[in-house]
Amino acid sequence: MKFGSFLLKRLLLSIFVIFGLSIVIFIIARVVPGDPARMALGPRAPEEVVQRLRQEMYLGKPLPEQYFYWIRGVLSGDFGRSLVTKRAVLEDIKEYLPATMELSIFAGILIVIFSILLGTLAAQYKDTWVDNLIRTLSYFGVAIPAFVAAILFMLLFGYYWPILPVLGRLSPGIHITRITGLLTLDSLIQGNFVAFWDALKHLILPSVALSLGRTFQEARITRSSMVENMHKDFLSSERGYGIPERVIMFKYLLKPSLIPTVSVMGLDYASIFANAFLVEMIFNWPGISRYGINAMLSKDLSVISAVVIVCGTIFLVVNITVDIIVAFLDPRIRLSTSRGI
Amino acid sequence: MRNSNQPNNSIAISLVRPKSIFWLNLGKNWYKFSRNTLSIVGLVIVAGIIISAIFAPWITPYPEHAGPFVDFDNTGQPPSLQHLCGTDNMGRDIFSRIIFAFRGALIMAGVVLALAVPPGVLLGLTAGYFVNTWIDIVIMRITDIFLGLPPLILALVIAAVLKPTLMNAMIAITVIWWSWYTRLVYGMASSVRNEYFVIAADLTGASKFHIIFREILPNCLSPIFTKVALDVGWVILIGASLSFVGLGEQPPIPALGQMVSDGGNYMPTLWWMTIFPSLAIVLVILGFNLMGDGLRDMLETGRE
Amino acid sequence: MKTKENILLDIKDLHVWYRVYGGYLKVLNGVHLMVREGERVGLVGEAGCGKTTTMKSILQILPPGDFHIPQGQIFYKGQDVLKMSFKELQRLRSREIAMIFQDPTTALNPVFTIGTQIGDVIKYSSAFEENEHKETIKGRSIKSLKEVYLPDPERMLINYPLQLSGGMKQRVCIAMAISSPRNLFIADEPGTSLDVTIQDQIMRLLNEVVEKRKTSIILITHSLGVAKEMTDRIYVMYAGTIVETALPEVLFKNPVHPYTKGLLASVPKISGGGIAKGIPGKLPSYLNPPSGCRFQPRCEQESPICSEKPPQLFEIEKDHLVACYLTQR
Repeated sequence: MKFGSFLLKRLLLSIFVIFGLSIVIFIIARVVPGDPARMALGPRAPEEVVQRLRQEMYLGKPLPEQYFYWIRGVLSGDFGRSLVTKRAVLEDIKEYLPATMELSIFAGILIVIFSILLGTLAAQYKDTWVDNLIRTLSYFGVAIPAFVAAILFMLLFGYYWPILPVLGRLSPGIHITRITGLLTLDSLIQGNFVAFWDALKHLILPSVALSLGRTFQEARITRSSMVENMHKDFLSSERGYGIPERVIMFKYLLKPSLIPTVSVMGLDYASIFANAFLVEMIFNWPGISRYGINAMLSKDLSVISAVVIVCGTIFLVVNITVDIIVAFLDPRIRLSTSRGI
Repeated sequence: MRNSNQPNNSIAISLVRPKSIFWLNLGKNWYKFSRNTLSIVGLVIVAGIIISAIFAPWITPYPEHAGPFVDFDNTGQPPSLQHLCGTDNMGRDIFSRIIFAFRGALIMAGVVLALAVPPGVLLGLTAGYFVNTWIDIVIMRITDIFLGLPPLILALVIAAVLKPTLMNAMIAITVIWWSWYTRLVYGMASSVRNEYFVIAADLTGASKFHIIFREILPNCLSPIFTKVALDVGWVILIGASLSFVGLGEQPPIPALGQMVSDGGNYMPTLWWMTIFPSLAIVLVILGFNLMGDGLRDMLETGRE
Repeated sequence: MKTKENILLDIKDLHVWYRVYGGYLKVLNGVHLMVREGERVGLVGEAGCGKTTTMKSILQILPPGDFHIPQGQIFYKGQDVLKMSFKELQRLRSREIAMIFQDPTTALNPVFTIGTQIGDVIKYSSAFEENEHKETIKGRSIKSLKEVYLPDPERMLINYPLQLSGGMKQRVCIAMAISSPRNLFIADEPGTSLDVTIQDQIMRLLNEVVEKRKTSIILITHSLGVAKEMTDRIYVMYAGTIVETALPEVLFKNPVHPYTKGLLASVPKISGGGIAKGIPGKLPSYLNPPSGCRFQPRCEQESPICSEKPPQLFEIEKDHLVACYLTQR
């Protein structure tokens, strides 16, 4: 089946990309001037200790060999030790990653829902005030970077209008036992609705800040794709055969129009993840991005490499998923014989 | 995009440089651009930013505030007639600093794009010309690696491991940015590659150099220009994100992201310290976006 | 016996305008067309003369929002389509009239299977509701596909349009049209986008379908030969007006309108005579159409009244109407 080979090719490509990324990040990390062992232990550590660490880290060996040891460690889950937290990086990641996942998934859901809603509205009421309003908002929405939106929210909701919490994931005094690490999910599983509501409230501001720009961008794409499809012959033809209007709208118009939108959702996730780095800092959200930024500022190399690999892998998985969804929606993609030439 | 008037298999017409076509049609192109008022707005904003950045030392009210300057008598002044955007915690005029920050931002965008676009385009053309050969595969897989991560993350990493200076921030962004152009140009070049007029040129013995630069490239120029115009805004955004976390221009030289971050510490009392640099960032992106959209409408013949 | 009751469709003085940037495209300028029960009507005209627009107006499937009908009526079984309620229109489309589009590739939705599309046509047709589910939707779909001689109908249901050839897609469209009993088919240049042998097959299929079910059909074509063979009456259309109508033999033997004469003279004859003459000029601009007869700019003959008012259809002999001042001596 054509689809199977299509999927296989994507998978192989992705694995290749991850490995390539790991090489790139490894080279970058080793490019840093200075002695990693000395940096890890500080200027006051005795020379023998540093020497021993150098040997442990294989610093004397040629680069490809170092890479090999590092990759071997990574594949078995050992990312090394963080200079800052002094724990195994894997532990840190296990603690912080779910927070970022929860945030990015929530932001992603917001983008999907609102961009389709706004885009469809704009298309239905094309050239009326609704359409023009959405279009104007889009120009501004796209131009506001996530961290600017975050700062503005901080100002607005932190001080002037404190109806939504601005710091962290939970209010003090509320406890949820971690099962998945996704607090909203965990609290639901345990039936703790107070905690659920609290966690949700904390999610809102950072997610909206993250999703703002892309929501409006996707809304524009949805609108234009809907407008383009509205005039297509197959709609008149289907209408002419007597298919009722609501079926035409919600089935025969919607599905082809959503394809361009869904195709760019992979990029959306990229932008969410990238912007999370700053937004987490602002909202004090204990996620992997904030962890990563701190590591970058303190030159905590093992952490930096680990974060890049993890983020890259997640990003790739999301992309493949999006590609699968698009191929599922659009038979033209999965059934066409050759791409390009 | 190719002129729809241009016949497919005529080599002679493709030898006409695309630049002259653009200038010949300047009147018509301007009309297309100006039909959308928003594009004009964008153009005005961009022109305003560029001019004010170039003439910053002469037109800002307090040019010396953009350097090592401290005035503890005037700290934390709200916006007024003397200080349009107020003063910050060190008594410096925020408006002047914003204009100077534009300088750094524009220089960064200019340098980054000047360094990243030509190699990116070249690689894309090469991969497109040698499509389906090992050259294509190697180039595009490497490109995929660099596209595999959102640009901000890699830029942060690179800027972090190097010392925090403007130069290094530019290097960091450049190292990633070329790959977007490679992909863009590859998409166009690989499909144009097998059009008749290229094959004809090949058969009549035109050198590879000629084919790539005189046949394929002219057909890819419009989207490249559009992307460059839009990218100025995005590069400035990434630059602001970098300076927000302290990478990039170091104080006392002003940078937009850095100003937003500093201002964050004094919220909500000195709210103008954050709000105005934030608005400046939004304005820059907005301006380049609007102008870029207008350019796209003008250069790429859409469906009418 | 041709009594009033036999008249199925009666378009009276239809004007349709499209709103565009510079004003209005006044495409249809007084179209008159009549179809009786069991009659096969041919509508002939060059590309862009308004044939498809007229047909789409009957079913009210013109592009949303952009058009305007300043005057005219379309009577179907005595009721004015232009004044019909939504529900009545629904019934009209699903039970009375079916239109088979010109290009089957654009007429089918690319992201849904054939089975889904034809299934929905059946599901929402009023006739199906009345049928009390004596057969399933799938059963009816397969039956329709078999009637258009599509091989392996079961497999066809799960195919997507892009997997089918042009001829097969056209058959699917016909199958959708015949899936419920209908009284009038509108076939818009069937098979034009396909090669000639396939086109021939499609025409034969249409003929068979029409004969078997005794339905009426409006056959749009720009081939006079096809019109002559397959219709009981021909309407000649030019620039949004009907210029002449007659029985096929009469039209070919005794064309009256200058345009019809020109059309017939344009057909190259194998028996000799060299390359045909053709009609110089082109269709008028719909944005600023001529105020009088729309053919006047291309007409060889002329009289002052031609540019003043558009001519009305006028019966010069039994069952033969022409819209031309020059023939009304």
